[in-house]
Amino acid sequence: MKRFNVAKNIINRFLPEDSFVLVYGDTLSRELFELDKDNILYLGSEITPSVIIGLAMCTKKKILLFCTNEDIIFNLDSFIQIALSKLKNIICVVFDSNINEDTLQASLFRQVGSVRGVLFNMGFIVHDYTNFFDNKPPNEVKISFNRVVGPICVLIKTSNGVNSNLKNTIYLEDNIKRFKTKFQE
Amino acid sequence: MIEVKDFLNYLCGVLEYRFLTGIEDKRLIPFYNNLDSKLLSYIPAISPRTAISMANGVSVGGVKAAVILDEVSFNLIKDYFISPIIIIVITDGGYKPKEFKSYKIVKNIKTGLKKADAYITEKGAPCLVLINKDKLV
Repeated sequence: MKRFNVAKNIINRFLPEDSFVLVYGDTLSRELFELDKDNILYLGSEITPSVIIGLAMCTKKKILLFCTNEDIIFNLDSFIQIALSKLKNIICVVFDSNINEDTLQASLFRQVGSVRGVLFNMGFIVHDYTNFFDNKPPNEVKISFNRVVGPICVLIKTSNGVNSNLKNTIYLEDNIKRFKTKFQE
Repeated sequence: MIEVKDFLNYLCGVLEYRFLTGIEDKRLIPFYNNLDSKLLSYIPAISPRTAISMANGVSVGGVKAAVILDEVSFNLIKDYFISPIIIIVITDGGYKPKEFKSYKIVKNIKTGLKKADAYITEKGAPCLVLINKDKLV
């Protein structure tokens, strides 16, 4: 299953229309930029995933964070903070490709342990949706996505699907301005 | 001397900075003792990075936010993206970062905070409020 296709399905088919998506990491942001919408915020390395806590405190709508397994290990403090926040509208979607996107080397998680175990120990409820996407009809996936109560981690094992037509630069300040307007509507 | 209670009342009650975060530090004990949940939401942060990011998120969400840090923590996060928020830096004295606009509060709480708030509103950039740790009561 390609990561881009999974993300596309989640954004276009399974999510409620009024929800918001944060895409974390330079590579993932550039890859998913093709799916660009006003309710998507692309975060580079100059900001950490805990920005989702601040946003989730200001709304009751669902907020998703797309990240890779490597992002968790480099931002452990942020993920612990998210788990501690107990905010019900936070869903972290973790794409587990077992590889570091930037260096294309094996993920550090291989030496640390399983992604699932680390997230569980932080205090997250962890759901593995890898087979769910293949085996269940889309309607059922949609209902399941709308029912989950956070802070929850949805783990999806994907192939290393780096898109070759990556956009070079995403300007965070411009992106934030656009997202802010949509968020405060 | 700076009365922390008056400081928080003016910051959160009058200027309406309803979200406050910061890392735990023994120099901030006067702040912890005067937090009032009717006036503000305070979330203790695990690290300076998470503190600044949470405040960024709240700011994007349309609520005014402030972060309390000491100068060492502030030096760690100043290269991160920071939205228009007030960063209260507790210093040992003589600290003045060049990268950001800053106001030092020595005696008059209202003037310093008012200027910082006006700067944030006008420029849409973060602003520092510097307080000497020995002056907090």
